[in-house]
Amino acid sequence: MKVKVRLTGLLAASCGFREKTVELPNDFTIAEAITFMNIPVSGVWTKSSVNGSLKNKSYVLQEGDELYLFPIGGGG
Amino acid sequence: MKGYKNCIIKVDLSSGNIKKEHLNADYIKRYLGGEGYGIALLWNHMPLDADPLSPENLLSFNTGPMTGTPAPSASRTSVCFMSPLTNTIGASNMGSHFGAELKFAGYDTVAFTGKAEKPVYLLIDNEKVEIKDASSLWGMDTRETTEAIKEAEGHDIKVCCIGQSGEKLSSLACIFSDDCFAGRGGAGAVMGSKNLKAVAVRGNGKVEIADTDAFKIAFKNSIRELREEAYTWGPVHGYGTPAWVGGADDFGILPTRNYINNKFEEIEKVLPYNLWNNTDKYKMTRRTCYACQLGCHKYVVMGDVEVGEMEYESLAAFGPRCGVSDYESICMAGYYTTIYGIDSISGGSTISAIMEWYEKGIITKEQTDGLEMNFGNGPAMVEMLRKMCLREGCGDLYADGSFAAAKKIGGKAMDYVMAVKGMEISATDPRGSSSMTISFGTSERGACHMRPYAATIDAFGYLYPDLDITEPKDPFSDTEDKSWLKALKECFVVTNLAGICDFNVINTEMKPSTMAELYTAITGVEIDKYELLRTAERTIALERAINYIRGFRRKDDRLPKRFMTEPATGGPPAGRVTDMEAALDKYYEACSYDKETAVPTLEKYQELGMMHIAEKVYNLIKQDA
Repeated sequence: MKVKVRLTGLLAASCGFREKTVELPNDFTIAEAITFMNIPVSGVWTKSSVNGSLKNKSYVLQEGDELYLFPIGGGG
Repeated sequence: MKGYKNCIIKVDLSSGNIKKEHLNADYIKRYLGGEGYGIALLWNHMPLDADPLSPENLLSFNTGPMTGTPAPSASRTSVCFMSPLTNTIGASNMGSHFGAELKFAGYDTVAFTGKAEKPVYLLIDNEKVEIKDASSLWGMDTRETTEAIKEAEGHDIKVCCIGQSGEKLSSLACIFSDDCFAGRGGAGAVMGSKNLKAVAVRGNGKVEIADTDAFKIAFKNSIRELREEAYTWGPVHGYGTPAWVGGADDFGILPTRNYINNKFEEIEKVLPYNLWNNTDKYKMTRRTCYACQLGCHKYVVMGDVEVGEMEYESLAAFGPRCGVSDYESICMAGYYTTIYGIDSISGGSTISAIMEWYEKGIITKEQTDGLEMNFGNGPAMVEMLRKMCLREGCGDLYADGSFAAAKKIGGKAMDYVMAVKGMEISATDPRGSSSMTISFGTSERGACHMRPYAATIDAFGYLYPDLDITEPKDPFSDTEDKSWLKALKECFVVTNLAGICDFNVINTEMKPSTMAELYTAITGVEIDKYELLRTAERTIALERAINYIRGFRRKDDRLPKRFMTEPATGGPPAGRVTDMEAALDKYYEACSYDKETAVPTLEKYQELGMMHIAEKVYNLIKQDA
């Protein structure tokens, strides 16, 4: 299935793109997509939204979804 | 003008003379207040070549116009001085209830020059201001000092003081107030050099607001903006800043073993949940500064030891930075920094440098009093810290920080000092954030992660439309336009001028235009966000001028070579090094700084209405040429 993936911050910098359509195996969860795309983070500190709504990492992606992954954090 | 109390107390500790004067209206117009006021005092009222530990150094406690109002986190006091750690301007900002109380007593600023013959403290009890004998307090730690003064003057009094490290003139010594700290740059040593043990204040007045209806609207807007931000109002509100240690590791920006690595393989052991969930051993409570909406302070008690505030920077400094993963040692280190009064960031970083020197054979057991200073040795870390705080044995060598120690040790020691302008870098690895390369490098007080905390924008992808940051930035590009970084830094500095906590803006929460609305409502003087930011730009330009006169140049805005030559070892930044020169060029261009001298161009000084400052700086530049 094709999913449009948007990344920001260190996620984008380390993967080399901010926006790209990615071919994923069917019924992949967001967590599986993060691993599949070799994004070098655990996902714990990454929020995800699909088609504009926040989703947890167990959400099963669908053909044509727009997945947006962004870090959540800041300094101290 | 409302908001300000229009009164400064000037204390000459040598003569014992105390004067009260109106604020300088020109300083307020140009620099707003807080840090800006304190830096203007340095420029105008002390010899700019003064030794930081000499009586000539001018030490001031400066509130801002918002301090003491109900504005969010309006607790802040900027302590300004010449820094014994860096020899640059010193500007260290603290919360607690001290600043608000100073305003309630009727004062914006209290400034000290000279040196008392014997230990003293200053008592400010509303209109009464007097110098009192502190001989019996000398030798006490910070908490003992606070309690003794409260016992003598009443328990409602607010105290800031130094511990033994300040008395012993450690360049890492900080000022303590209610378990908050003016931590960085050695302000505690400056107090110690003046025989000034403490300042105690009681105020029964209030800070008047010019337009309460407008203030209510601006206040509601500011609270909404704060609570809309998910990270600050999620993990930080709930668990304090230590919540971030896991995220910093995950994203590969957690300095580990003196920045050799940027991820910590034992991160699971130092996640703060281990502390919070071990309720048999640790008790946690929340504490807040005056008018705080966030409550980031988490107060820790470990068995019989009242550790005090445990926050991200302390945890990162005594944990991963030293390769230490046992919470008992980390908490004990936090306890010593609190009671003896030293900066936990520089304290932890100095020990991580000692560990690297020790492992590389640059120092031996003779220089550690027999301690095995390997990375990961928590008990040795704690004992070395205690020795540093008290200048005991080998601790004397390290008590002024890693930069001063490396100069004495010689050889290759300086290669492993992770400091800028002599101030140790805090817990964000700049190889994962190009903007932090600039923040640490160009901070006028030495490596500072809050001038600005810019990783929020480039590493974590936040936008700040009210500051015209509307497009994502690349954390790996040192050649990208850095004009956004100039604006962000001014936004952070404004909080220091106004007297509110920079956690209001750390994750792009409060809009600069809302800050301007708050200022306008409080003072009755209309200001827009652009002029507000301009007061910060002037303050920074003045700080650059002072630093130039004290010998600081472009070379002093560079990070240690490790970041340019040793790639990040893990996480998203793996393999990346920093291109310092390209980043500096871009930043200087954005700020209109001369690329050789690293001060604002004549045209910029003119635009800022600061030609009287420029004249002095450029005369010196001509002489240098």
